[in-house]
Amino acid sequence: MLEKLTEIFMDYVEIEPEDVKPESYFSQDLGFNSYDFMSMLTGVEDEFGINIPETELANLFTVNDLMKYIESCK
Amino acid sequence: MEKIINGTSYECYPLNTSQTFLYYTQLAYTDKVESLNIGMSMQFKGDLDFDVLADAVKDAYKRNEYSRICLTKEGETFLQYILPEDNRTPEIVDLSDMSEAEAYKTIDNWTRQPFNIWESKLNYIKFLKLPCGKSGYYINTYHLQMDAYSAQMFLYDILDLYLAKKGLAPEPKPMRSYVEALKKELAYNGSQRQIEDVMFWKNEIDNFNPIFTDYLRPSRLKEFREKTGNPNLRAAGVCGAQSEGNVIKFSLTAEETKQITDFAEQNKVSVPCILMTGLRCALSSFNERESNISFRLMLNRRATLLEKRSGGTTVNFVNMRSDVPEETSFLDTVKDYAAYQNKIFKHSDLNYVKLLQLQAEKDKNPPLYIYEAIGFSYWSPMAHALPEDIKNNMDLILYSNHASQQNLYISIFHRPQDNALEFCFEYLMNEKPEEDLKDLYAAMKKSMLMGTSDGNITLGKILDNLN
Repeated sequence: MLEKLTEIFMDYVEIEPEDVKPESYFSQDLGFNSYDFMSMLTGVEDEFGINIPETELANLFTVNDLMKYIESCK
Repeated sequence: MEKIINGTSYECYPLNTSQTFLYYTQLAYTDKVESLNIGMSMQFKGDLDFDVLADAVKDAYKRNEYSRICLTKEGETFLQYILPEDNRTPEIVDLSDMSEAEAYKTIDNWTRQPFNIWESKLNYIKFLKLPCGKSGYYINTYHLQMDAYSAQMFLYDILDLYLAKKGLAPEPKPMRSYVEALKKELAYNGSQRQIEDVMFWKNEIDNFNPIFTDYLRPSRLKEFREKTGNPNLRAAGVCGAQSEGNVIKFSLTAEETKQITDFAEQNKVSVPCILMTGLRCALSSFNERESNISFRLMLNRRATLLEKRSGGTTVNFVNMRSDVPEETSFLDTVKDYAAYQNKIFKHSDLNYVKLLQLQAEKDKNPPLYIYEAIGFSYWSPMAHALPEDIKNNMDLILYSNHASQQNLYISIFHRPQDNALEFCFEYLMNEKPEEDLKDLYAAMKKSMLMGTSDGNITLGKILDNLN
């Protein structure tokens, strides 16, 4: 899953695959701003066939938070 | 579609959302073509090698497809096409004998010269010899070709290419295709996502009852209530003014800016949400402590690397609405804006004209009556690795086209050399709002500095200090 997510992230921000770790923060470590982030989540929704409600956004700070949420949708 | 223009066949494409919106608002609100000009210069202490710079400009035209966008008409339909090349050598203009103010005024005047927008080049570069031993280069471009982000990116690309040619920096990374990004954007029209966006905005509009909150204090709403004989009117007809525009600039110090950026980092909130909260406090203070505040937010719709590196114009507006009680803390208000942004960003590709139509269908106000007196935009610092001595000795300057379409448009930038926030207030001069704008900026600044030194301070407490 991390590999797939990394591919998606690399469409949005200038990072190398090794920059993406579960503990990486979207904003500070990967350089997402709010607009990139929301747009990227649409890509994640399409890729994994899930819906990420607004109420969940406040819990998504790190890559691990997002992976856990995707897992919980399975 | 293919079209023969000046004897050459070109592939022509429809305008994108931003181009359509910008062109029609220009037609609706002003007869001045130059209202869509963007003038910007990059200035440096010391001399530039203009021969090398001319080569850099030629390479920049090659690499940046969007810098060769032209417009054409097919009946009533507006189209765009890309020139295969642009080999112009910029004119060198010597302003070094002038005072700095005179040089600024001269360049500012160039920005108000209208382009011939049909089947013609939509930008030009001039090289500058400036007073006080400075030099630089200037671009004047038409907004349907570049927005401020793209114009800035183009100027930075020229600089990167120049530094690479001088052996002072590595070759810059390739740019991306404008046409590829345009084709992706055009696929939105008529899509399921567009249908869902209309439904989303209809729901938002149905569930919020905005009121016009003005930088001229409540006098204008009162005036329109009297004019329409409707004491309950909540909107005002402030669009369509045919007036000369002007710009007033304000700056925070690097230290004040750091206070804001540190607060953003510590509290995991964004700088624009802090700026919007500052604007909200100022508007509330100007409008008898109204809690229901609206303004237009300009969005630079660039999320993917393709969108970020392909230039063009991607701006669109959304209405930022919030109604929070005075007991709310500054930090919670910032978070409220962040939550609202998160909610609306997914739906921000819908043309702003459509949003205005949806609002008008609900409210049945007279035509062109709106709730937002102010347009607001924030430009995050363009991440650019430059040699320190260049970075510390350069300046990016924005000029006015003096033909604003909007009553007040606030653009906020970071100064390249020290990251300090600069506020450009572009306004219509017929309203004589200069004193009000100074007060508005002062109130905004005070609110932000109070709020970022103590995030728990309430809006009410801040307002007590503004009155």
